[in-house]
Amino acid sequence: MTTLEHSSGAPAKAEAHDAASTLELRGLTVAFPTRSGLAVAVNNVSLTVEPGHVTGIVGESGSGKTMICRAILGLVPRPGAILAGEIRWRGRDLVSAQPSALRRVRGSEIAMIFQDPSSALDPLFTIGDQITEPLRAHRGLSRSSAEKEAIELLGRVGIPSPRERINAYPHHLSGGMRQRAMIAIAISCKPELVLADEPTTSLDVTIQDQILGLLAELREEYGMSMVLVSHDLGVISQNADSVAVMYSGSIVETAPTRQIFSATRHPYTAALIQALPSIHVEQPRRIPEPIPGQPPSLDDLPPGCPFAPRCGYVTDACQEVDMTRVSVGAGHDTACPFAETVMVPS
Amino acid sequence: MSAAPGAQSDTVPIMTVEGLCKRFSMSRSPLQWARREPARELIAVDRVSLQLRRGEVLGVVGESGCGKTTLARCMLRLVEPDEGSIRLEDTDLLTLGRAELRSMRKRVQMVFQDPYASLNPRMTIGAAIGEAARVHRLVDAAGERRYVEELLELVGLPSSAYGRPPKALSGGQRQRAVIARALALKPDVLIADEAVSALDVSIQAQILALLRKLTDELGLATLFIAHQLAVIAQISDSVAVMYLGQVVEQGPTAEVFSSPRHPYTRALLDAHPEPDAERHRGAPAVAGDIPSPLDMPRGCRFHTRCAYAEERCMQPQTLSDCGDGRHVRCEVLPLSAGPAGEDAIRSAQP
Repeated sequence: MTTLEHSSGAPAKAEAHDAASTLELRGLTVAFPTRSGLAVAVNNVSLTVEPGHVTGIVGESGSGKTMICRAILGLVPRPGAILAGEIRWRGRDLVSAQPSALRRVRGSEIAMIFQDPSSALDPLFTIGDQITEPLRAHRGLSRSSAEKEAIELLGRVGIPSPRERINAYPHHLSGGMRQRAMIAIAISCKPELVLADEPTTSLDVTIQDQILGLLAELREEYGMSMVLVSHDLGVISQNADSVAVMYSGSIVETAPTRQIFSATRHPYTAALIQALPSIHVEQPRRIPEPIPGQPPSLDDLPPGCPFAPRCGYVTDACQEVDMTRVSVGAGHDTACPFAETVMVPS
Repeated sequence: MSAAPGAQSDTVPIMTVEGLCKRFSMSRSPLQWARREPARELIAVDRVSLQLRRGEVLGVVGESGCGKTTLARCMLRLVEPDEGSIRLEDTDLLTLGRAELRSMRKRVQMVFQDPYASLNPRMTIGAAIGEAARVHRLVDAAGERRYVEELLELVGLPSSAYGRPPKALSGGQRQRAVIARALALKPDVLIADEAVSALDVSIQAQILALLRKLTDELGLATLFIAHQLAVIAQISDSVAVMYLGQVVEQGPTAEVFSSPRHPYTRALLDAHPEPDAERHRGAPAVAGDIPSPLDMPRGCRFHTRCAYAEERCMQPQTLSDCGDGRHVRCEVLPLSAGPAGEDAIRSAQP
């Protein structure tokens, strides 16, 4: 608490991009009670988000990637809860922070872009209302200056005729335009960190391309760091500096993006890359290599490595693996202790 | 015949769609009605021609609102097309009465996008698969269980799935069950509408491999609809790219994807984030939103977003035959095949 009061009193925006705006997760565990026991959605996850970087989190449905973002902002839906771990942000722990302190962080220091712009925007309020709200709440702007700023923001995110669109309701806009409006809300308070949870999943590919381009531009302009969550390794590879691969609540491998392809060090990552379809048509045809079986149920995780039942390199020792990652290079670590011996470098 | 190109093979197509059109009239508001404004028309499918051949997968790719799902539904007459013909071998499906259509439908089966919505939650997997075969009198009650178990094996489901409700199965397993149900009628044509879109990558690859195997081994003619280019690239022999109701480019998949001749195909491919170690992020491949199908641009429908647009693009473009098995609806990018033409396309890049 003392550190908290100390930091919230200081206008820290100026020193925004020093090491203090590093986000650090340590042993984060999020679980949900279910009838058949505790479903562990995020299992002992540690991850560092460097300032100014784009950290990608990739994984399939139910791997826990969205829940990490929600946990960072204290938005784990009930009855779920953070069972253990720390979320260090600017010298304080967000897990133990008071709701009022978290409110100051949310939106103004760390903002989130949600997957589905049609459900994340309130259908009963105009786009203008929804952009001016954080401007007035966090930055204390007057109604008229907030409106002026909102028009500027809408123009900045590429919404044509922003002066008119400010009075539009979400249903007046196309999916791509709605996502642009949501981005405008997210950047309205010039956050240092943006959590983008599948920001383009509901969009068409040409629109996805535009939105990812816009995010890259804004990130540069505002010097923001970003956590980019996606199920699509293609999106991650083209936009993230480093990547964390998740499987069944655990991070199995983290690496600089280039290395995740060139020097894969976890059997799940390798299988995921093999399963990806490519637009390059090869003759004879190469159908992507499926991963046999399916992910385990989160309330009934196997002992040791959760990927072991589907892994091509599985041994008895895999039941003993505790999923702590070991370093295999600069910024590169893997939760598979046998990676160096079983995986032939490609 | 303004034949749609298939793959290189010369085999007779089993299903031929020609000049298919589907328009929807939008309902009028009371005010519009009082003012006697005419109902607006949405042209969902605009003169589409396709050919399906045994043992081949024809991919249809396009973004939302391009008419790919309406096209699939028209081919089964789940919605009635306004114009055109759909021939299954020598029979024109559009001339059939209800009873004849019923018996013809078992030859053309569909796999839908959402395996959670397309199985009755109150029926066991076995009952769902067996029902279709029983209704069409392909099996009797005594042989049904055995018949269904063979199908389960064919699609890679354990025979224990027979007595289970859909909710006991994962998404991938449900999609296998839906495929088994379609195959229960021994169809000639399989229409898969976004059949892998709801699935995770690792499971998606399983279903793609299964559909390819079934097409090859059973000699099915498969129409595979998807919005994901990479999926189309991996499974299909030939591809039709759709934009706002029209086919803009058609031809063998490998050639269309390696040297696209329509600016829209090129934009789609450029916009696709290819998973690899090199980063290619540059300017967005194409600007602007997809126009509303209710307010289509005049002339070439892509010209509002096209980097190559010229004066003549304000005139309607026809889908012309390039003579090498490829069709393209664009006059501006060179139509001619061969290295010279492809070079010209590349040098024309803005």
